[in-house]
Amino acid sequence: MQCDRFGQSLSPYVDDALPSDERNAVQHHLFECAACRARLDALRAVKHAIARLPSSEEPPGAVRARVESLRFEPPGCRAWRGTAVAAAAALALVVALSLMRGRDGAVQLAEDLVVDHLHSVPEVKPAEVASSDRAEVARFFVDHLPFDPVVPELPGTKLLGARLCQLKGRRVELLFYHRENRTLSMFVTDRPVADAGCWATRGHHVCSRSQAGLTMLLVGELSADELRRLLSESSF
Amino acid sequence: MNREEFAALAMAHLGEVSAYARRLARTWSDADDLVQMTYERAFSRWRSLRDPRACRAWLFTIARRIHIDQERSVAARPDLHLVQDGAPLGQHPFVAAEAVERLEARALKAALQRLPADQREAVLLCDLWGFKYEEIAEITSCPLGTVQSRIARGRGALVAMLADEGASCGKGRGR
Repeated sequence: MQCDRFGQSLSPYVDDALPSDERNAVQHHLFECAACRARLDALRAVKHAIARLPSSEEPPGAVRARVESLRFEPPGCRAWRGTAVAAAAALALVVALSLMRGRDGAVQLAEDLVVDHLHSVPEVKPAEVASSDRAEVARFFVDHLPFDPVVPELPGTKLLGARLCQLKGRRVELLFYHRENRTLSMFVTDRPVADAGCWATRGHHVCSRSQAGLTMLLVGELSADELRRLLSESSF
Repeated sequence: MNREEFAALAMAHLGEVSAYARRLARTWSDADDLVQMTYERAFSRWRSLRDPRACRAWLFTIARRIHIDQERSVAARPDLHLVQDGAPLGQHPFVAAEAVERLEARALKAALQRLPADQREAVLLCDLWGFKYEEIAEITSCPLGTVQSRIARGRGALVAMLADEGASCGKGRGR
């Protein structure tokens, strides 16, 4: 009868999960009952045998790569979706897209940038660094980018802040500027992702300019002429 | 804790979350998707993680909730309730601890697979990943008593199965 009473307590006893009074009672019973001691040993052996099984399994490289990319992909930036197979395919596609500079590639890129702009502006998500000080914003990027960070000055705008972002699988700067009650997003990358030009999508314009080995992509609801002028007058 | 610190913490658990996802999902491909979605959600909500020490349990909780949501969405629940929690526990058949020690990992894995899913999950969370009962209750959204019961039943069933295994090999002392 005592064994029936304590039988259900042996498992939590193994895990040291019993209240002290109950634990003391089980201990007292175990001192007197060889059968329950044997059962306890069997439960412990099962527990220890399971503990020796591998508790960690390395995911496929494509999965790890996608998860790793999240470290530098702020919530507002374009997130990846789909199956692991799609993720693996996407990695290959990134390489191909990064070399795509034709019209179709530029249109798709403009679409992606506007979506990122709409989801990432400080009104939607707080910037990772909120400052109008260009030097301070540049310091935020140090050691986080595959190139030396720059924070261009755009005449007639106020710098709001910045965040890290992913563009075609590569870390880039995403800077925010304020002009005429509107927020502009500027992506700065060290890859030649687009030829110079402007594109229109979703009521926004995207204009591109290359300078000193960097490509700057300015996104906003301003006209293409205004964005183009801001880019041409920018300095860093 | 800032985002970078969270990222380092979360990435340290990627292998364990991956192993857990493979235990939950039906296929490896589903498991990989589950891992990705878990981290996507974790990175989008990392500020809600108050205690960095709870990061691992938090990631497991996210993984399980996504998995359950997916299962519900396809109206195909896993075999989580094959055994009623109210069923009598019964006595564990006598099996010598040494016999369990001698068993190969393959036999143990096979025995684990034969457990009802809810018991297997509770036992693994406790014994393989070392979570406390309170953490398992949080991860599985179950009362503490249910967790304790599932672990006890699961271990008891494993002892019984391994006793049979030992007997069939002529090594055990079945009663």
